[in-house]
Amino acid sequence: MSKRDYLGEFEQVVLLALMRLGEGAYGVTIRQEIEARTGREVSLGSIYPTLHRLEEKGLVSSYNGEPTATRGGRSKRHFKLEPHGHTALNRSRDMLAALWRGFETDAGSQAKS
Amino acid sequence: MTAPRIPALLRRALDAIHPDAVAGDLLEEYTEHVLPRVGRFRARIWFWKHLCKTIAMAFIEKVRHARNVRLMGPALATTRHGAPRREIMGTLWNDIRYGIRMLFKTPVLSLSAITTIALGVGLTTHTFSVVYGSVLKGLPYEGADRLINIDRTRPPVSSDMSAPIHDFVAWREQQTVFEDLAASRQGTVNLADADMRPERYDGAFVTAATFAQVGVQPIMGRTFNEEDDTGHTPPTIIIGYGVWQNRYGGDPDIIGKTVRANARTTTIIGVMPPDFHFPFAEDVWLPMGLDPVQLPRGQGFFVRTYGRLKPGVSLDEAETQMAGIAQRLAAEYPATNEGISTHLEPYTEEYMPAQITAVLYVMLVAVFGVLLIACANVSNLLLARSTVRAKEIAIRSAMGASRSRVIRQLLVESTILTLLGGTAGIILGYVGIDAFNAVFMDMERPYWIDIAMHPPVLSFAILITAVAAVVSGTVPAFRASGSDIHELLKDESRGSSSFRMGRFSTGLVVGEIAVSCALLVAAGMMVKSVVNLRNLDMGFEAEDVFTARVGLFEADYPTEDNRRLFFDRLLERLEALPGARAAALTTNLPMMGSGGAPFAVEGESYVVDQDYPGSPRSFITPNFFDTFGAEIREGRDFSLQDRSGAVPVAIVNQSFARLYFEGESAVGKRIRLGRSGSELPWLSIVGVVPDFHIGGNTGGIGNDQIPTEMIYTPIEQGSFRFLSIAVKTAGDPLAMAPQVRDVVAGLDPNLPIYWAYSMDQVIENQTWAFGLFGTLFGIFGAVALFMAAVGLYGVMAFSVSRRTQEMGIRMALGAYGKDIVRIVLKKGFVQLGVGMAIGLGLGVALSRPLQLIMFDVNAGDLSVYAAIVVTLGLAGMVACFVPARRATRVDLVEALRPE
Repeated sequence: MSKRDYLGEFEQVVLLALMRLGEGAYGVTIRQEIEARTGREVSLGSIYPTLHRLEEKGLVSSYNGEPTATRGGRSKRHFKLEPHGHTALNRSRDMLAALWRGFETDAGSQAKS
Repeated sequence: MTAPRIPALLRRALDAIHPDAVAGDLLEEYTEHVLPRVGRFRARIWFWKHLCKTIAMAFIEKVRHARNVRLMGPALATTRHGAPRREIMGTLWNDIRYGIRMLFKTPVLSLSAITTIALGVGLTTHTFSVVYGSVLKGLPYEGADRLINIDRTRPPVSSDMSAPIHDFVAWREQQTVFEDLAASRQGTVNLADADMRPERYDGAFVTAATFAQVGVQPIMGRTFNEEDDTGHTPPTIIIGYGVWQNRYGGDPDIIGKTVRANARTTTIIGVMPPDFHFPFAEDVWLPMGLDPVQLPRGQGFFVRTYGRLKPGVSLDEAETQMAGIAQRLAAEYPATNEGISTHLEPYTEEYMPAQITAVLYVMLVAVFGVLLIACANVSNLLLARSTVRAKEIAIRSAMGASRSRVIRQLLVESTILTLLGGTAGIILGYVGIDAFNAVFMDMERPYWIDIAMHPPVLSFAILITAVAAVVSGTVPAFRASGSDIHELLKDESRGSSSFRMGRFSTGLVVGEIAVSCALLVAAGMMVKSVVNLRNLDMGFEAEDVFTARVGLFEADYPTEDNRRLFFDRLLERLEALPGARAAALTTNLPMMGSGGAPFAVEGESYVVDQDYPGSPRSFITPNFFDTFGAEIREGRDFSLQDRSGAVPVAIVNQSFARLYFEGESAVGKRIRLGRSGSELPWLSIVGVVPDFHIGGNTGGIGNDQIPTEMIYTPIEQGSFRFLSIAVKTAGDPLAMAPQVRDVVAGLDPNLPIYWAYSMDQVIENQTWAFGLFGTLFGIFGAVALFMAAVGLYGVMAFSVSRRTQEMGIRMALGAYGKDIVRIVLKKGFVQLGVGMAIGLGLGVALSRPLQLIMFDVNAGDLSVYAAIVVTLGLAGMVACFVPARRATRVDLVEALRPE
């Protein structure tokens, strides 16, 4: 595994949102999904550069949708998780899980004391 | 409902991400979600806050991307699937910035490469400017390349000659292939105005059609018309722009004014544009007048004939028709035209002998050789560098840079080097042209020859720079990018990569040595010819001799007696000048060439006219030999008693005496000028003098066919209008000029002197071409030698540095320093030897056409070849020896330490 395939936290967040949204995800829905799930306010300004980078790495792909009136006649840019993205997500999850193994309860008790 | 607009300027900031999609998303959320929930005012705030944040983040993304480019090189910063079209300019810019950084990272290499290219481009540009200015440019008039010169020839013996006026008139009447034919002859024109110093100008006597055929209009007034051609109109003159400006201060009312031209009151009818000096380098024009046509054939003057080909007529067709006309004339006038034909060639070529053109092209080939060496050098330097960078390039490829991407970047780097070198070279070219013109400007030459950075020359310079960039950059780029990635990414073992560059750069160095050797051969020949010339024994003392020329015109001096009286008094007064140690008059100064004459030796018999010998001859006054510091070897000098009417006498030089009176004294013998029908008197030889170098460029520069024999006869026994003055002075000869001018003005206030030079200058004027070409080839040779040595040194030094480990091991195993030196030298010497062998062969080929401008040097001169082998060998040895010595000082610990 090369260094390039390592995912940052926000990259994982965005990829997971894409996985949840499935076909037809675009800027607005991605942003809302993340906000709704994490309770964290995110802006398009952070989502798009991340998507751009993920696309460069070949983890997601994008294509233009139909333009609509409410968008001032501009097309949506739909994003889709690629198989590579799935693999990378799984790997990140496994890596974290491996690191967490045996600490689940300890972590909780430490937090209490 | 109005949606907020995103200013175009701000949208540009979103370029790094998907600008349309981002803007659309913002608007959609604003319209569908935020506006209904929070109201218009707060929705607007929401919108702008998010837009600004997005722009800021997009900007950060842009910076991050750019930083990656800088850190990892452009190859890494692109996507795996190739850059979209619009990004190519962006990455090119990155390549350029990266290339400039590489330039400063290896300053020595960059500087050598730039210097090398600068020298190559500079020399090539300079030489091309000479070729362009003198051969290719031609006359600066519309369609002037169709202006053809027509000469008379007498095949197979004689070369081109001017035509008698009668031939010109017949040609003009009978031909149909030219728009018209015009003719001219050159001569002295003395201008004298009230209260202005009389001055002598180079003038041309032309027929009216000349101006139309050349294709030029006067800037004021008119040119000559058919009436002027008759020679029966009042005298008229057309003046050049320079004369108008300098002599008449640009007087706007000059047309219609009168001037005394060659002692006749003449009306100025026109002023020609600047830079018009047709037919050769003339400043004023007088109508020729076809009056002499009334004379019988065989009399009258000779003229140069030219005309423009009619549209659609080829030179061959014209040649055919003119040959036909010549044949008819030969049949009609066998006495004057027997065996005469014509020769046609473009006007400018008539003045640029084919041999000189050949020399110029040889020079061009020579400097292309230098340029080639320069390219090879840069190529080698880049190869050396790319070998060092092999790992960097391999990493790039591994990271996804395509081969073409890597090649492009390497090409950009080499192009930057060549462009800088080319710019410096063009500046060098300017400097060279300036220096060349400083020597060349004063020389007698056709007026259209103008050595300058003409636009085509500049284009040429830019073109060769581009070619140099491609030639020197391509091979290293392809070689470097084509390396086996796996091989290089493995831990590098020192030396492995040097073999890869080995064979190709060895070939380059051999080629360089060969080309520079060839150039050095040519340069050596030229330098030797200059040395020969400087050491030439001219047979006379040129120091402290003032010379000038003076000419009399029939209007003021109608009879022979008038002229003789003038010259007698002139000589008397010259001898009486304070500071004059001796003075003489002559038809031909030494070194200026002399006309030849056939003659007969008394007692010899000649069967046919062709059997009569010929010799240069010259007319002199007594004291001619004193003036030039020569002693009479036998017999006596001419005296004042040797006048017309006295016993006709002659003096001959030692060569003449040796050739015709072998073993006897020439004094007392008699010769007679002319061939079988000669009615001239027999001349008694009264003296024998040393050989003076006769010189002259009758057969082209450096013609060694000029005979050394000479016949001198007294001026008093001939009749002349133009004579040269020679005065031996006590001090600086040129300080004599005002006094001589005053003497002449004292005899005739309307008479100018001209060609006022010291005898040393006269010699310089006759021989400058040898010096000029010698200097140029000397420069070519020196530059070539320098470059080849640097090239050899570079490759040797590099290969030694790559073999440090090998040397270390050898020394650790017991090799001595001298063994190491031997190993390194062996490689260098093989290259040197092979290169020189090829180069000497090339040199022989190159120096053959140069024979023409060599003074007394044979193309097979072994001493030159030997000198070149020694020089190049020594330079090559030094270039090899320095790196070899370095190899022996290898620090063993350092060399053997694993990486």
